[in-house]
Amino acid sequence: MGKLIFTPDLCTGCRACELACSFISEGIFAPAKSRIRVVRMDEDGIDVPIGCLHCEDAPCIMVCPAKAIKRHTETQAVVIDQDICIGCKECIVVCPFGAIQYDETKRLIYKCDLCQGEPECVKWCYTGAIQYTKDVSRVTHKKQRKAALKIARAAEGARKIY
Amino acid sequence: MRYIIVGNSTAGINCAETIKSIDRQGEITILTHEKYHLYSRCLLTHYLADTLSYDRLFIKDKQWYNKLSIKPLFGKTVTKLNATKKQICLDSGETIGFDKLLIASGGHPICLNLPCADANGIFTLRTLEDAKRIKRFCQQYRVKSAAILGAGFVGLKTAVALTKQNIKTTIIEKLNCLMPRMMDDTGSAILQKHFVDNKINVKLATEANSFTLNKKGLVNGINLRNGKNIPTQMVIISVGVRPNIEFIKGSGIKTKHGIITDDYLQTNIKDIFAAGDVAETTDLITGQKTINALWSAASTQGRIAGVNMTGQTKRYPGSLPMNSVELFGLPIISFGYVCPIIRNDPKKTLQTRLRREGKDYQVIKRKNTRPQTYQKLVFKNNRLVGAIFIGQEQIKHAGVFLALLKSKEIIAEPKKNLFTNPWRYSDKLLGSIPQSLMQYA
Repeated sequence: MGKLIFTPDLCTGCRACELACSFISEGIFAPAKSRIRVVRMDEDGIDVPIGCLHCEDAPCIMVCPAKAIKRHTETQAVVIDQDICIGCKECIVVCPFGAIQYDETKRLIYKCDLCQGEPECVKWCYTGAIQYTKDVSRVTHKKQRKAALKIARAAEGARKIY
Repeated sequence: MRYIIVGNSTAGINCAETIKSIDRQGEITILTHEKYHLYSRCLLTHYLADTLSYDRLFIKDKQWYNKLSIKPLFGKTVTKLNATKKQICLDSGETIGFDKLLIASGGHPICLNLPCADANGIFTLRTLEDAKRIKRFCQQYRVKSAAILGAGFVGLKTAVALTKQNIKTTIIEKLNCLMPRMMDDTGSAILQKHFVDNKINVKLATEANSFTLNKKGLVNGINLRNGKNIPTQMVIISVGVRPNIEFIKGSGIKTKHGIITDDYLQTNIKDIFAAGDVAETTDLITGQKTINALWSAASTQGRIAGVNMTGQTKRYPGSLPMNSVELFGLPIISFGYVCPIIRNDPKKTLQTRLRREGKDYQVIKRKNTRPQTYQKLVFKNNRLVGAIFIGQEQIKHAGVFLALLKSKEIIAEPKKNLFTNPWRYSDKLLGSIPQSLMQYA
């Protein structure tokens, strides 16, 4: 049972996480196929890692008309069952982070599955901007909001310099 | 506490599940006129196409009711609601009392009142029974051609399903646009070409007048208003859905087209709630009460109504039109206020509104060099109110745009930058989006 914790303050924009994720999932270095993405906010000079938060009350689980999105019994990660998925993409429309993605070559909908409990991106993040915690009480909506306010303040700070 | 839920589809089931998780001792009875336990209506066209097996339709197993001690009553129709006595009357003659009631009776497809509309070979598609009937008919009469009246969501999905069964399909639509409520002219043209490339006939601005029958009483053609006749072995009418509110006549419940609900999904009568395709809820864009008949909205409404029925309170933020579908490999996502063509007057388009309402609206289209792709954003007073995405690359991260729409964030110029970086506002989104909006579709 675990979750990823993102601390945007610590992200340097190196994107090792994107390379690690795409390699472990697809066998190639292709940031476009990574389940986690680092978003550049050029105007503010900051980078923000954005990935699936495996939400407590995940809208993707609720919206799926085929009930193909479930919680993994061990990791509690939100996972898509490819055998049941019909490809309607309602989950893509409902995820506010854009964490669910569509692979046009394989015609599949995919997302972060916490690498069965040993997330690769965490292993390669040198600054600790992405961490994995098994103590889920550490990650709640309140804390995520606090983290987001931190990003906003960092952005404000960066804007003031320029 | 006695809870009664009228309707056994996603709104009703989500409500029952939610009530059970809060009020374990509560007695829940759930009623349906159908004989099946919960199946996903959205999957019916996939079942028609044989791309999905029968058992996959049922997204909860039969034992679910027992496990949660919920009493299901299948094959029962509610004939009357007595709000003062808090009782409902069934077609079997029984009367059941309740403390709290949820009306999630959904809707029924509109059957055009045309001559011979009840002939053999003319169907609507809403329930599993409808789908089974259509399948049996196709097998029995070796159907090779079909016509679909209405180019909405259901009509288009059905056209794809029938084509997959090697049935030559014609789509007949009264207005001059495919998916008239959720698409604009450009998007409709892309869809039309895509359908024609996939061997489907598309006839826009065309209306059916009557049906012709053969000597055996089977439908064999449609007479159009322009005088022409289209030969066909089967007709599927998908021109819209009307809410099932016959049984509440005389009960005092306020209705528009459907049942009017407040921010907590309660009707004007205390302890009576409504959710799903039957309920009028606040539209997030217009602020008016409207029915947004979507599976996702019905699921959410069922849950929130369930919370409110147990005595706890949870506000329903509102619904909005939202569609996501893949037709012959072309993904299409549209939501919000995209280019509403006012139904009775196809000439009134967004352009007319722009002229009338002035500079309020702004439309940004992305120049896509790939054919069959389209991205468009509609802003009102600098806030995103609608979007259309067509194409495999183009639909990526559509959810970020939807979150932006719900947050009512003011978008700075140049707005076209939003296409390349919709997360531009994510810091504000994460910080300011109310928890309820983040969780509920």
